[in-house]
Amino acid sequence: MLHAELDKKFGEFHLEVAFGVERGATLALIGESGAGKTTVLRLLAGLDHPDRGRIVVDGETWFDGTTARALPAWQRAVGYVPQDYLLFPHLDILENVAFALRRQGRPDRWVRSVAQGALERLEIGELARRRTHELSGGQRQRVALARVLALEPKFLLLDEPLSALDLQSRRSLRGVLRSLISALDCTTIYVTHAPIEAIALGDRILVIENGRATQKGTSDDLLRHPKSPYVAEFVGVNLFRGTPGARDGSGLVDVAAGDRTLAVIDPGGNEELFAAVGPRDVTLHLEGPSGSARNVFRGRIEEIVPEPPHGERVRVVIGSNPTLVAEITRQAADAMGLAPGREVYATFKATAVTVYR
Amino acid sequence: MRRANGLLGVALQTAALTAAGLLVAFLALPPLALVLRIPVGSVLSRFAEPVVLEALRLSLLTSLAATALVMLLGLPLAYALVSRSLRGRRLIETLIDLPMVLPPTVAGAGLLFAFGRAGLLGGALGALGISIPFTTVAVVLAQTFVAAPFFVSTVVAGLREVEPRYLELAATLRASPSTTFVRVMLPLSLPSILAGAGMAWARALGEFGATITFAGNLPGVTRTLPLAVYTALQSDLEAAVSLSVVLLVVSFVVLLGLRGSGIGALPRRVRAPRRAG
Repeated sequence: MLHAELDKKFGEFHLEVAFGVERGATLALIGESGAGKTTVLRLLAGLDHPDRGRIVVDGETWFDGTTARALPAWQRAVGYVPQDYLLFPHLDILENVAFALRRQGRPDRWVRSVAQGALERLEIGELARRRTHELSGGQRQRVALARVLALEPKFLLLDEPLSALDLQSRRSLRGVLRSLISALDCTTIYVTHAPIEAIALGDRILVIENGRATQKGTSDDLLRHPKSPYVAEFVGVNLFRGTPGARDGSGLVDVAAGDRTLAVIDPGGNEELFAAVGPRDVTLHLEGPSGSARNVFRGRIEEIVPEPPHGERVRVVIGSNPTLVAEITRQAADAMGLAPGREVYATFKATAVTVYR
Repeated sequence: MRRANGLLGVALQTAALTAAGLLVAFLALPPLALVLRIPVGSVLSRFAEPVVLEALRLSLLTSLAATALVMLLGLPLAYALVSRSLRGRRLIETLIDLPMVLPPTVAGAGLLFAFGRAGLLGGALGALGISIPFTTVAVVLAQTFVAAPFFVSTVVAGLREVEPRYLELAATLRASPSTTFVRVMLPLSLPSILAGAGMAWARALGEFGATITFAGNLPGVTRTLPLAVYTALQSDLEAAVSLSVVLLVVSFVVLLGLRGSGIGALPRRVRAPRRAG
């Protein structure tokens, strides 16, 4: 169990977050560049210390702002993998992995066999005697992981472990990471930009925006109920925020958002609410529709983005206010002759909107 | 205008090349003159003469001792200068650099007034039965004094170039600060340590002014190669030439070795791929 209350100022930037992670669970930390994700990891690893706050790991206090007690980094049982791996250039691969194992009284044969074992778990046993500069990005990342795994850490800190890799190695390493994290009995914090990694690897997801935790929940919570434009974009849904207005007695309520009024299923109450629409629930038309959809947006296409992995589906960004994203098949987009600058009508049903506070 | 510019350009280029050539020639001429003065046929026998051998032996002994002393004390000092926020750091660094620009005879005089019988520490040393001036120890001290700045400033520059995030990462891999120093900081700055030691040794080997002022010119005790050259110039020109050539060759080989191993020039930066955001 990790419990952290972190308060740290760097010039203009102010980080202030509190969170807990269950023993053995994985917390995915997401947020834009500069939001403070790496700072959180550095504070937990003991490379910087908070101005105020507390860090308690399995009942052991690593930092206590009231007594200014801070356990030095080298006495914390963490495995920290920075974004750029930082393999030691003066050591070969095996010695990089053996670095933390070489302590007084440990026999050389034992150290080597443990280090070799860690390399083999990451399927790079044959690289043991290579130099770091001979390795590809994916291989370096495996070495960096082997280096912390050899320590059998109770607490793993991964800073965007896949972000510097090409698509191919990212895919293969994602699987490796998932099986490693679940095989190890360790608490993990995983910083990432990629929704798929957060969802695949995180039991819980913590969103940090501009130094503050703005949402925490399961990937399901975030998908269904994103609470900020950043999260909505991260999970790929359209998010609107507004206050309920007129009710027409049909069970729907009008919600003002941007220069539109949405019709959504009435959740009752008059407080501000969130309304989320999946991009696949948005239909596109070249002319004003006459169907049963209550919500019609009109605007020019700003952008058409192919969806990974193969671009059979495309996301169409419509420059209405508020902006709306529709996801349709590429075939449909081609058949309609959609292109940036073209004016379209976008519709969705009131029942397709998820409403929550 | 274009043509005039072109002519001016050619003239400037020619002038610059001439200047560069002049300086190279000026620097190359004295060593060449020495080498040309070697009496043909007698070189080897000259080198084997007791005067030369004695001076050579003393020079090697004292300069190596001085280099060892400089490294032993200089490495902790360099580490302290880069790793701690010392008060008066600028003053300390200026003090360390001072012997590089100080005339060696002034350094020698200073050493004499510090360690001499009537000097600052002379009384205390005398009470312990120790007398330093005009001994081989004085030679080592004089060489240490003039050579130390070369080592310290080179190593400080080298240590500053070590990417601090490697040291942080070592800490996350359970390495205590002293382990980190020995297993990460030292190996990553080894090129600058070797370069600094090489330069300090070369400087100690060539030391003259401070030695003759502080340690005197006693054969077999304080008469190192440079002093032997000076002495021989007054009586035996051939011996002076032979001794000079020995020094010349040793210095040249040391410098060439430093460059050849890639550590003679400024140390290359030991850097990490990129800083994470």
